[in-house]
Amino acid sequence: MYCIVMEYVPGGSLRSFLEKNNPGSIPLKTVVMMALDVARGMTYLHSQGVVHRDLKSDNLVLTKELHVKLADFGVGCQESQCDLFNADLGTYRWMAPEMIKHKHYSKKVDVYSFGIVLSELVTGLVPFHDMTPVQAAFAVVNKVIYYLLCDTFPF
Amino acid sequence: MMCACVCVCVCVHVFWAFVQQYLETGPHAMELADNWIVDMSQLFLGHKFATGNCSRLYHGIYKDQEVAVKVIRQPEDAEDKAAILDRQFVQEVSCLSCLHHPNIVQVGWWWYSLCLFLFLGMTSWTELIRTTSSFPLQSSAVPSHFCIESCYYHLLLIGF
Repeated sequence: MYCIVMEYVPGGSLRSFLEKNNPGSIPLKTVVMMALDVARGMTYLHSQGVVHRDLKSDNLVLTKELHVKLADFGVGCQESQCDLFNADLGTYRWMAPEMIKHKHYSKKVDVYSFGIVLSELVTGLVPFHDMTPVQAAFAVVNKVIYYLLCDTFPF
Repeated sequence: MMCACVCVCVCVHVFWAFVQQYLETGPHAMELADNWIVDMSQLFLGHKFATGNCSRLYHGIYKDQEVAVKVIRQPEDAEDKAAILDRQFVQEVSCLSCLHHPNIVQVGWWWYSLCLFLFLGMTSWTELIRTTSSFPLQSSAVPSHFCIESCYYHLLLIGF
């Protein structure tokens, strides 16, 4: 058994926040502020040579002032050591194709996941919500589908 | 009675020295300072607010600060999974402990139980009774279920 004592962030996860609000009802200003928070955290993370590998709305937590903090580094790693542990990590819907295919990858996998998080922020929906996680992974790798926001873009 | 107490104290000290040595030199040793290790006697667990695959997140109080406590339980029947969790814990702690940024959750302390069950078994009872009896039950900041959950959790930890 392990125990990690961390800073308590009272606002819950970004996923639960998005589920509590109607899709597209979060003001653009808040969306941009949250996106910038994630981007700042990721920039710092990458500057320290760390790759998160499991960036998703469940792993982002909110403060009372709705600022976002990155959490859950269980599968994070130093960029130079990433390929050593590349099996069965991350979460399919947010996972970059090269990671699903177990190919060589870099910190760019976090940029892909960040793109998916941005789409979640804008639409409020789970990415590829009409597919199961495995279907989404298959489609991303084999059918090269793109996540189109045009239909649901609220602004 | 006095003699038994002294014996227990000596045993605890000897055992703690052994645990410290293991943490510093054992196979899971990490280059982290001693003050990273959680003092379990000062940790109180409250309600569970999130659940992962093999981990649970509890709201807690540690050294008078509000904290989130991630408890990772290794499955006893799946050695492969246990090894993965083992590695994830080391990665999470080594990753987070060197990161300091306003947009990254700050990790404070970590705790690795090896044969600490025995250590806890010997000390937690007295500590628990002492600390829970002095815990400000009437304070609105600390709900009473904290103490109950804390007792319950400590009981689970020591194998009841």
